[in-house]
Amino acid sequence: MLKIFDRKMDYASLSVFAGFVYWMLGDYYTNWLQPPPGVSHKAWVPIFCEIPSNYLDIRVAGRNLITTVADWLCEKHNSSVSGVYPTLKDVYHVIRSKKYPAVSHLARYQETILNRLEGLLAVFGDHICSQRRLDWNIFHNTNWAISLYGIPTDYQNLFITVTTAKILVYRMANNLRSSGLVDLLVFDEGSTMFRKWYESREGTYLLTDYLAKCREFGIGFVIGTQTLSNLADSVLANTSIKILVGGAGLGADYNIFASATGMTPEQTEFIKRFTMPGQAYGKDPRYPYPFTLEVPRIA
Amino acid sequence: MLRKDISILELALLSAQRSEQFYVETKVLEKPESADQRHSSNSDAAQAEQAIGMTASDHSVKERCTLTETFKSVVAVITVWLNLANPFLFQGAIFKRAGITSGSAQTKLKKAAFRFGFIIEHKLQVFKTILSVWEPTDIAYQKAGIQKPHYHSKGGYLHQFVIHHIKEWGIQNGFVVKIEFFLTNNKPVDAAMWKGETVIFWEVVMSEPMEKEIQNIIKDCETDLQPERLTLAVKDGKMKKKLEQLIANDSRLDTYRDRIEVVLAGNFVGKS
Repeated sequence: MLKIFDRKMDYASLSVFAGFVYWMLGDYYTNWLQPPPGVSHKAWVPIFCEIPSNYLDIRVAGRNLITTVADWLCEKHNSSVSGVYPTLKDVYHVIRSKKYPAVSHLARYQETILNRLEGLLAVFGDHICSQRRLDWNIFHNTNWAISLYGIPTDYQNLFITVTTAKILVYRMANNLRSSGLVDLLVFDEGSTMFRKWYESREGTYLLTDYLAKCREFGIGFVIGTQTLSNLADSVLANTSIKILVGGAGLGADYNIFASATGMTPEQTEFIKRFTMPGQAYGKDPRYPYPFTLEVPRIA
Repeated sequence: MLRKDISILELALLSAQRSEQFYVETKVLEKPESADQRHSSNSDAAQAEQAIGMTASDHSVKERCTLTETFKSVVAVITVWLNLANPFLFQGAIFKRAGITSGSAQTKLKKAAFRFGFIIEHKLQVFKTILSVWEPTDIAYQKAGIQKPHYHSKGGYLHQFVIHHIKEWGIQNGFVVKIEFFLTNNKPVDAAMWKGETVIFWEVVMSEPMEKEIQNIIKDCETDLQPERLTLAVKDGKMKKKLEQLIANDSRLDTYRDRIEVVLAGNFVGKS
């Protein structure tokens, strides 16, 4: 099934297909704290809480505060039985109501978390804190794209990572392994989410971690970028088929492509000289040599 | 063939229509959690006294027992009501669900509910009858042991009450219904319904001044979506008459007037 995260409405034209759902963010309602089917809140809440630390500058201690409160709320309302889970708004209100000595570490964590949650809720509002029941089977087994147009890039990346994590965790928890491709996730403008320095900073960068784990569970990715030289190394290491579209901007992009696909110096020189628009160079590990692709010109 | 020039309006409509399939519930109301706590009888007496601003010394033992019993009964009714999947009911239906059939008991409990600060009353005209709509207060939610629900729509409780029933009515009549649907001119319409090519807009008018509605009507009608009908749901006959007069006297609505109708919101409230 195709899942596209569309940053600038490039895929809107897919709406013409009756079975395809092009989702505007205004029609999307979910509860980020609700675990996918087959996953307990005990397992999901810590996984979820780790994700904002990648984008919202939340340290371990701060995120543990969210984990503790979310977990406490789930227990208090017996969420695993009632099926009704607290939302980030509920977490926000509980953390806000806590009284800590002003000079304590906890007060600083509280301030940070409230600030981050306020920002998050200002951008997404009810769309990530809804009690509407998303039918997971339909959500998982439908081809869809979601428009993330109009929200800041960091929040777009956060949204993509949370949704990807839910799909991966669902398949892992239910042991839905597959040698074939089941879900294909499309990340447009990949350079904004797989920057080289994301991997060198403190903590784990989760999206590259998911990239490494997903193949076993039938999840594949299409990652598009215009600056290959800026892409994190693990993306190149964990992807099999690579395609370089003719007319790429930087000379360094050709060298990186050649290096990642094991091209000879002659082959590298060849792709550098023939950079016609409409042409592309591909490398599929199932085939020993790189090959050229050409998009026919359709009038 | 792919169409790159697909309009934003068409996209919004397709998104609204197709995304409905992903959601199990169709209610306006979202109940965040179920009842999880009950109070001891000792604290009931203290809470009842605190609620009406008296202390134990103000009452005889008999009065104190009666007050406690009444408090318990009201809390029981409120708890049953607020725990319903659909609590948007008229007063009579709430008592019916709570199993209170005696008229005098209903009067006594209603008075007590006011006294304890559990409810605020609204009136809604249904054909020629005026019926009571109870709005639960924060204290009522607290006593029922549930969190105040979230709504998909803006407005006060009566607005939520009406829009919920209008949505139910739309779904029962085969429409796809979206609450708070944003038009291309960034004007949200209270409810947008469509079935095939037919598009109907609903605006819920529960408060004065009604003059502000004229501007809303113009914005609704001049959108690219071109609604076949714009229905304005009002609280009572008096408001209906006033709004009809305002619409008739405003020349800016000349081109839209045949598409506008004013109805009593209560007439669309389900009997369940």
